[in-house]
Amino acid sequence: MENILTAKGLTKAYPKFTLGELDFEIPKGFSTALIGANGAGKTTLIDVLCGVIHKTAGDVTYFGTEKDIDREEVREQIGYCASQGFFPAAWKPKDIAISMELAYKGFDRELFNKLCEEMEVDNEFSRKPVNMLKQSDGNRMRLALAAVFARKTDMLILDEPGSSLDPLMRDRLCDRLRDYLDEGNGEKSILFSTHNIADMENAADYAIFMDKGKMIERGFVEDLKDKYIIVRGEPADYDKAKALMLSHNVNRTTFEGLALAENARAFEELSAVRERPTLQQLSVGLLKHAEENR
Amino acid sequence: MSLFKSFRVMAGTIKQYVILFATAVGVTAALGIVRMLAPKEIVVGFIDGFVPFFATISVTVSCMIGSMGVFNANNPLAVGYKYYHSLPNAYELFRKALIFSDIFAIALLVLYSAVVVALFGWMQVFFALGAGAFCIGLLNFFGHGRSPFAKMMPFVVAGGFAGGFATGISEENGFELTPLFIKIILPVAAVICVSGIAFAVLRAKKAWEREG
Repeated sequence: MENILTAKGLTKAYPKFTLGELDFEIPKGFSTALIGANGAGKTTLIDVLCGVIHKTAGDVTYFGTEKDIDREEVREQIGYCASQGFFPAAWKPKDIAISMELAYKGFDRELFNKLCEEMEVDNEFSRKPVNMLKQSDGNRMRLALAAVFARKTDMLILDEPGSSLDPLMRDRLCDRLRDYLDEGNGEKSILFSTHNIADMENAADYAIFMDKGKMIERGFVEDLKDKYIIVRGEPADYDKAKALMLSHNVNRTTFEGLALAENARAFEELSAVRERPTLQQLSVGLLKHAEENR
Repeated sequence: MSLFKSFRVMAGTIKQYVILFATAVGVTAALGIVRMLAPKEIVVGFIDGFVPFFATISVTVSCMIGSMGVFNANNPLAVGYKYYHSLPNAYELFRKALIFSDIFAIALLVLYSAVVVALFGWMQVFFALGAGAFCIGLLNFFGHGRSPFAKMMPFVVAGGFAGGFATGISEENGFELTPLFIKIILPVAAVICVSGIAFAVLRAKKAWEREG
């Protein structure tokens, strides 16, 4: 399998938080979800990968051969979008269009305006467009996404693109991400971060889970769903079951938890129900396990 | 990429800067016309006193807004920081935009002074020119700093100190281009302006790569 991005020993150190050391790959031609709670280091990792902040140590290889994120050709190929307040507060859509058209060779101004219309936000031809400061969080994100999708890129790196969007727009975003991959025919890739995978589950082929600056699990979503099971049973069996579960909770009527599929047989004896987890259940279970074992 | 295009990447449309400057010039011109058409003592006195103050504040400030915006692109607390730092050739764009915004500011100041002197003979605007050059220099000396107070200082100097000073000397005996002003004050202001710009450009790389 080819990788679009490979990191070795990647570290970013702050006085009170350290990201890394991280060794990981992002597979080419797929959409990778970077999942973690607030403060896990997702934004820091994305900002380091896109050159917004400098790494403390380690190497990152882009597109198989490129090592320097500051090279113009590398930045042209990556479509980056931050989670909040990406464009300056005083800017209107026309400012975005002017700036992006000058800064990026692959920016299509006409497509940008068309995408703004599709996403139901002002474009540069709208009557009395408002500046970014006066836009809602959702509209700011839509404008930023329109700008990113209007560029010719080989990889999208998006920081929490769904967090400020309404459910319908999130669903459309997932479709658009799928279209991006389909257009690339295996040559384009996506990395997006989220702290709530439930609404973007069908946009993820590969998942990386993070906790406190470290990666705690990763793999193709289907493989992870085969690796783990969700277990449900009677409260009376909870004490026996919890030793086999990575994370668990119990109430008056039932217990539920995440366990390794290799332990499935042990749960048979407890008459517990075993299910294939959703990505959301995997996220909660793995992150909870990481939190309890810090 | 050219200096002008680099500035446009950082600033988007420059219409707002032109409008701000044009408004300042327009008001000054309007006052000049009123002075010519209604030469009553009270009107003349008010305009002669108000113009230096207005010119010093409004023109100087409107000239510096562009440079302030470019410096702000490198402020991690400012919205847009991640956009600017993710651009291809981001540092080069920043450096060129800085140079352009300062040249643009000086050009606007000189243009304003030349027009006002030619049309109305108001020598007080040379005070605005000197104050403006001094403030541009100050802004460039402090622009890379993280302290918002330090960055606001040129505007405080322009608005508070220089504007008030200009009004004061204008009220006394009118304003004359004395040898002191021509040989010392204006050249000193010019040196501070040029050295401030040079300092800002030479420090640009270090400032751009600094985080937090």
